[in-house]
Amino acid sequence: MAKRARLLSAAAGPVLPDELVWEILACLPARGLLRCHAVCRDWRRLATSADFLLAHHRHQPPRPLVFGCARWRSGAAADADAAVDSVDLIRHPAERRRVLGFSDYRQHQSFKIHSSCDGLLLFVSGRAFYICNPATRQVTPVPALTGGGSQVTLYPHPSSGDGEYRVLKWKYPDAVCILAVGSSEKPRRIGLPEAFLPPVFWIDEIGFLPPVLLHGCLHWHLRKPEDAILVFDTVAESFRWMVSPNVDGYGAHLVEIDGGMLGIGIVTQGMAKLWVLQDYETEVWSLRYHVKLPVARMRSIAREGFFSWKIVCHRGEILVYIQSSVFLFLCDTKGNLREKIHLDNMLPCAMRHCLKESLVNHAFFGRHGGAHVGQPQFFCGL
Amino acid sequence: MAAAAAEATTDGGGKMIILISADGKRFEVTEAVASQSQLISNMIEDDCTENGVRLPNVDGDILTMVVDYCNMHAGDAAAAGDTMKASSTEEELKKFDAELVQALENPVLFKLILAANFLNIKSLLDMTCQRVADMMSGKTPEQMRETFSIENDFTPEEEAAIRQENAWAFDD
Repeated sequence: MAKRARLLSAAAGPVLPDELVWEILACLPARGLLRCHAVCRDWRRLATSADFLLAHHRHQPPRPLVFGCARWRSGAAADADAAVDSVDLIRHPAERRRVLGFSDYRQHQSFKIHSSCDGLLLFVSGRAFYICNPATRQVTPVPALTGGGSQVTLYPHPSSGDGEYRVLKWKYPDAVCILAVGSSEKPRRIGLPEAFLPPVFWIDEIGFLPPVLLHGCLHWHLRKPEDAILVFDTVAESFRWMVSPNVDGYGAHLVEIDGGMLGIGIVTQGMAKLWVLQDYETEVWSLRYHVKLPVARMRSIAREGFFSWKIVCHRGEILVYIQSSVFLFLCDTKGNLREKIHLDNMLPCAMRHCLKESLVNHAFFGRHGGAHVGQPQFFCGL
Repeated sequence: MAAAAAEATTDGGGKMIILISADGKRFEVTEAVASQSQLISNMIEDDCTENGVRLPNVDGDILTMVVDYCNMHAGDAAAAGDTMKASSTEEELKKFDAELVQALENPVLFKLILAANFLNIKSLLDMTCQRVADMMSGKTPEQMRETFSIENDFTPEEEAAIRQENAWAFDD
């Protein structure tokens, strides 16, 4: 790094080498990193380089998303009538940050996040679909996607080196299409999975729990007709099935384990269990964790409502998020209650999606972030 | 003397190692404690710790903190597989780490980062880097320059243009 003046002040420590500056900046939330752009040329170069931005994204905690509308009022900016917050329970104390704030929710009364991938959210508002990066406040409409009766999943297309993203669309009653984000081409129909039984269940389930992207494939855990994992190969654009461990229960969900392994987590009767796919090729699962959660303690804090659960992996550590109607909790694999946060009047959205912030550039947003005239204001009231 | 002490063993049977700071302070620790440093762990494997390990770029006051940290965390790695046993010490460890990190300010914090990096103690490095990142939140670019002893090499016009690119990230 270039010369540094000795501005000897009481606050200054010794000068850190580049690799340690990298380590520190990678720990910053996106907003803090954007401020670093204005520190000096070296920092700006580092904080905008592609490999650093990817490392920064990987470093970010998976932040559960919560949603609030109409009945949520306190602390709201006057010009927002609904909002999505992301919660960081891994830092202490827990931090909650508004990622979307709507000015026209009352008009549309329909908002749903379909997909969260690489720091991008794909959501529907009214009848229109949008892709947005909350960390950069960029948003772009996806005009080729329309209407209800469908579930859509956003994923990076691995063999196009220019960072192309695609959308897989499940459409009632029995069609699957693919489209490239930012392309003017129409969605392309592809073949259905084998043994495609009553599609109604599938499309609901596919929309219920987000898939895990691993080895260039999207994975969904489906319970109907039998416990199984549906795999979509994003390069071959074909489906296949994988064996699922017999997890037997509602709320089982796939987990991406650091180091590129697939896990499946479930919480039943206060026990969190995590199976791990030891060998992806032979499809052999083994039970990795079996942890008693401090249910009584959480229940003494959140007295009402159901608990819903989600197991995640962050920087090698397995963590369990627990959501009641007004609280979010974080537990570790030792069964300790690590952190909790009160959600005020936010309505839970069952933690289906987590957001890992990213400042990676995407061409499809266009140079100025695609702020179009007449488009809903998703960032007002932030 | 040093050689004799380095060969001594504790009651638990662990071999002892002498660490020597830049200012000549000596610390006697078990191999298990010292091996949390990947650097020293490699030296132990290569059998070159008999005459004590000289750490010419770590001051005594910083090495005191590093040794405290390693002593505290020595049981950690050993007990990691045993979830029942670890749960009581887990809370103590968390408290110890939180107190250590909360108390850290510059220049001690950066010195500790440099020591953790040199000694290659990943958990301590991660924790201290995170502490710096946490301290940076809400800081202006000017305050960050001060913390990191950086000269502003932007013209006022350039800096204004950069702030304008993501203006919302700069307002509090």
